[in-house]
Amino acid sequence: MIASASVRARSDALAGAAEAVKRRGVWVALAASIAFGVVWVPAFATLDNATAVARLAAALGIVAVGQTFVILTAGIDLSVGMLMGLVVVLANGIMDGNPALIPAVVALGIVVGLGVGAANGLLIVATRVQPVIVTLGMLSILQGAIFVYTDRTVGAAPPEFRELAYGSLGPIPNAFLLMAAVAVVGALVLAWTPFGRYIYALGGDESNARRAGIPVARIKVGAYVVSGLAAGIAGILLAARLGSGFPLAGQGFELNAVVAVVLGGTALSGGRGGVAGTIAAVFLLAIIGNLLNLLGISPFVQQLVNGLVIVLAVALSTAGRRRA
Amino acid sequence: MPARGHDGPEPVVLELRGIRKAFGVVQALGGVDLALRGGEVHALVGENGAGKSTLIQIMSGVYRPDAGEIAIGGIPARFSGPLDAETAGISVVYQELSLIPELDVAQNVYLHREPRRLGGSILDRGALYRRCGELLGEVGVDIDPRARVRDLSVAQRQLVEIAKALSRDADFVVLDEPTASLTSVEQQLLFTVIRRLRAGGKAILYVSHRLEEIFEIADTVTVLKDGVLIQTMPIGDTDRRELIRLMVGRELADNLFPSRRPEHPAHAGPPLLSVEAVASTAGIDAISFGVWPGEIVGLAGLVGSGRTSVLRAVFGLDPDATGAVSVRDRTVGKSPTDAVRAGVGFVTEDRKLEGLALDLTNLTNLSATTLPGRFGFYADGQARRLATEVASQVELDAGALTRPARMLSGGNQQKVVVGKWLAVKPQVLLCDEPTRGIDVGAKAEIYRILRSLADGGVAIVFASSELPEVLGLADRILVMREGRIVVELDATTATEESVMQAAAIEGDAQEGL
Repeated sequence: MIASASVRARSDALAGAAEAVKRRGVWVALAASIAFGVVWVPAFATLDNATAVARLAAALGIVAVGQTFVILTAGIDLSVGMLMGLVVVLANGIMDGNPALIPAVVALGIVVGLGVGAANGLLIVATRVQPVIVTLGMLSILQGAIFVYTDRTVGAAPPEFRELAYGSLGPIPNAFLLMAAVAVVGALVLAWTPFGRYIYALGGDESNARRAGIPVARIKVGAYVVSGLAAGIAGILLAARLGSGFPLAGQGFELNAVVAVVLGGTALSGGRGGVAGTIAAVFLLAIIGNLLNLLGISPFVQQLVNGLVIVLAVALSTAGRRRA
Repeated sequence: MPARGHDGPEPVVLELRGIRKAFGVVQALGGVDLALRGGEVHALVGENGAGKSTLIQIMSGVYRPDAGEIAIGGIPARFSGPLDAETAGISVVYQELSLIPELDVAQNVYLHREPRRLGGSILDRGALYRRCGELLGEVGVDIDPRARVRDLSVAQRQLVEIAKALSRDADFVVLDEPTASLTSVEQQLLFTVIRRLRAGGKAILYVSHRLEEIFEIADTVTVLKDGVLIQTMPIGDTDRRELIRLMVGRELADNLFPSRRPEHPAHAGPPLLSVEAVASTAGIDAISFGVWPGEIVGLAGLVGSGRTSVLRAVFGLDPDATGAVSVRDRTVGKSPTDAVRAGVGFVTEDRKLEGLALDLTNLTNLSATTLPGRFGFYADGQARRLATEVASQVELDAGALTRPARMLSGGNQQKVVVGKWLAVKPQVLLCDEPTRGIDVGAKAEIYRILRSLADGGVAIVFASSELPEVLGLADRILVMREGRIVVELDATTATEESVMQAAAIEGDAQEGL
């Protein structure tokens, strides 16, 4: 072992360096985009703009934390966008300006989220169908449910409810605080609870996790429940931000959530990654969008840039893996 | 010979009585009795298909026996699943590792049995790493509990596996082919740990293909053949040759390796394969050698010395490789396609991962290298003819051609991998661990196939971690250390000692011998 140690150490050092760059890639990109904004875009480095970005990023951040749990198990949850949309129309449709109903719709959003998440998880475990297919089906079911409920914008959020999105504690927006709380709880659960460690274990090697006696099915269902819960909370926040029940409110969140997770360094193959990178990626995406806005670039070009970022990020992460 | 520091046999602590198990019409075990004693290493040997794996699976609670019973301390035990066996104190260290690469050592060792706080809802990470550190210390293993498993060497992972087994307070430890991918030095490390377990009173069942190490570590040996127990005896009452005879039912010991041609292949004329100054970031440097027609060259060295990297570079699989490779006068480009075109074949180390499409038929696997065609269309009849011809060359039953590769034994799978390269009629054949994990009988056949290829003028280069194989099969041995060829030895005069001496630096060599 000693004889081969130096050769191994050399290749280890190389692999380690590549790994470090890959892991910190999202942080480097985040720092670079902030630096770019500070130097080149005058309106960027203001308190107003910073709170606006934080407020805008919050809903995606919350739903992406849930998505991180699922992707760590080597699964995927494509139903979260429509789930958020359903919560938005239900919450604002039911309240219709009545502040007395706020606790009820918040509870409803959470229950719907938990329920849809459990349904996803149970279907995946029971049928052994690929998570992509099951949650894509769920996406369609939820979209149908939204349109059965309403085909146009409905209801209104009372001003007290809108405080959730637009109020702030000192200079810090409430929305950001909510996201930070969700992210911290998510990170703690992953690092400090058996449930969290088993998510890594089964994402790393499902059959070995099963052999160790881990209740794989239960943990998997749990991950989708977490994702559903996060989407429910994000839906409530989105309802407060939009102020009315727009049926397509959640569209695209599923894709952006997956992108944030992958950009943040969590492997689609499971077992590796975490919440911190996801949050960094959410802010990277938000800041890129914000910068393009401030520079007066059309939203269509923004979508194009977003797509390029996604393809580039995936290409870079797989290239790194192949070399390692 | 292991030192026995006590008088008389230890008491029997675990007993298998009349264990029978059939799968469909196949009788895997036909009434096997086995008695394990505390403080004893009991070796279980037998060819592939002899029933060793089935026996282990029954002990570990994966299978239930059709008849017979397991008695622990004289009391019959009934296992309805692996957890029952574990609770009863039986721990199995499987050949195919059960670790999760993304988790660290401590998390793997205590997976699903983590120390917890606050009524079990929170992990006690402090206790986890402390306890794991203590355990590794007790076993005598110097590994950081926080190291991620995927950064560990195979040997280190094996030791973590054993630590995991011990963390369950196992009284009975079953080791399934524990040294299959270890070098001699690493193997000694493992043996030290096993001896410590024995001294601690554990009963150890040691399953292995490698007879040399059985004589080194075991106290008792049991031979299984075709699901029947042939004999159990103290290791001192037998020898290697007798064990082989009992395992295969014929005298094989003397002709495990085919005889070399009386005349050493003359190095007249230019070499068939010539490798010059090949280097790569994969950890090899200044690799130059030639192989003449009819010659078998063995690459020896410790794990990490670069044996496999050399073969990969020669075959064009290493994009970072520099230097020149040529077959006769044709320069081989840096792609496997070009290597095949130049007449080079490569039998890879891991037949399940790289060598075979397990779910495809053997026929398809055998013709994968050539894909005979006419006018750009796949010619089935031609493929069939070719596969049949190659199958007879490697002595593979023609009836097996239409079955998926997965259904063959390891030895027969390996024949398919070799056969698929014979189909292209190679001038040069590279083999990485040509007989890993296959039984003695199949090994002998692979050796014979390779020797007859060489006699037909093919130049063969093989890498192996088994010294007897290097010494017995090769004409010439190139010993590697830290990515370089350090010495060339004539196989007829080389000894295990001389190869080890060259492969390891001084301090290591002492430990390895």
